[in-house]
Amino acid sequence: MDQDDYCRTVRAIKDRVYSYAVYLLGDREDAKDIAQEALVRLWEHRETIPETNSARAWTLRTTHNLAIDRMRGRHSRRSIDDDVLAYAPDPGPGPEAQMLVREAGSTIVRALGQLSEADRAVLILRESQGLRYEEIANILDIPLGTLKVRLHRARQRLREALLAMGVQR
Amino acid sequence: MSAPRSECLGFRELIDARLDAPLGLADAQSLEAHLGVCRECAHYRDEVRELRAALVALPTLEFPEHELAVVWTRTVASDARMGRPRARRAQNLRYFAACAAAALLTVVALTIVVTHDGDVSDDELARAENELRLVMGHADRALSLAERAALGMAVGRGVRDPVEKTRIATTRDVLVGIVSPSFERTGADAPAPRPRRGPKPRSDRSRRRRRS
Repeated sequence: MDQDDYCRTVRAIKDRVYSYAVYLLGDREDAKDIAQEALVRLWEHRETIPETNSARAWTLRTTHNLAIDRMRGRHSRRSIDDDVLAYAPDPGPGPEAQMLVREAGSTIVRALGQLSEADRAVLILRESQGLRYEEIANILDIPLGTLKVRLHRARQRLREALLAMGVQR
Repeated sequence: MSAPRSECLGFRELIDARLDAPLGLADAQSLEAHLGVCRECAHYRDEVRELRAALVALPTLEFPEHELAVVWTRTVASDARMGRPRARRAQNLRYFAACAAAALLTVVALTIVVTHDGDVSDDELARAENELRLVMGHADRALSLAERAALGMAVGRGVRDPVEKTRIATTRDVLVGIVSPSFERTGADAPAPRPRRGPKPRSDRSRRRRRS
């Protein structure tokens, strides 16, 4: 990957990488550091990464590992900040629709904060990032079968967390 | 929330699996039949669908521009500033070699001037002047090379933008024109060609000494 490829790749994946870090860590400041570090490491390893798709998976895996290290370094478990969606892009027309989407998003983000890092990671990568099973298994470095089981359990736990927060259909 | 019945557990796994990929015909038919009679599982299906829709709707957050600027500074810009080590070494070598050549040629030129005494013929004077102009021309050229190497080392490396490249090239040409005007000289102004090598002409004084 040469310099132009690197610049193009960073522009294509930077928001995904940052979003993944935000939803995983629940803290925008930490997420900025982690995303920045992951993108710098992509530059340092650019000669061993051939194309954009593998660069995306590589950077997300690096982001994941850095985020896990950061969470382990924390002395106590931190709850997810309510304002992680404060600077989210405008979701659509109409202030009422915007408020509803933001509220639903905040509720989901808070429920995600109740889960373990492993559950949160699979849900974000699968549902929010829309990655394929193979890519997720590669990023998290787990077998495909384990991933499917983990995803099923994570969905169950998220549903239970939402019910425990009093969210009903 | 009540715990699912044991016969529902398998169907709930199928409901989850159907979120990611279509089921086989037999599984799909048995699930549909179960959903038709089990209200809890039908409710569960609607819940997981909504949950998934909510997760999918989570916005992709924009990585702030000032953070991206830091990334460029730490990666592309830093590489352009520092250059590749090997190229930098080669450029340093060229710079020092050119500087050394310029210094040596200047010393040679000064020696020619200092060692000539005042008692010389017109021929000798013209020849010495030619030698001096030639040596100073080489020194000038060496200094110009050193200047180009230094300029390239300072600003030229890693610049990819064609507009920026043109600007640097123009600046460099202007500087080269200022620093070494004789480098640009052509025709009548150019230094005279190097005289043919031969035995060094004797001075009048040595001739007089031989006669006496």
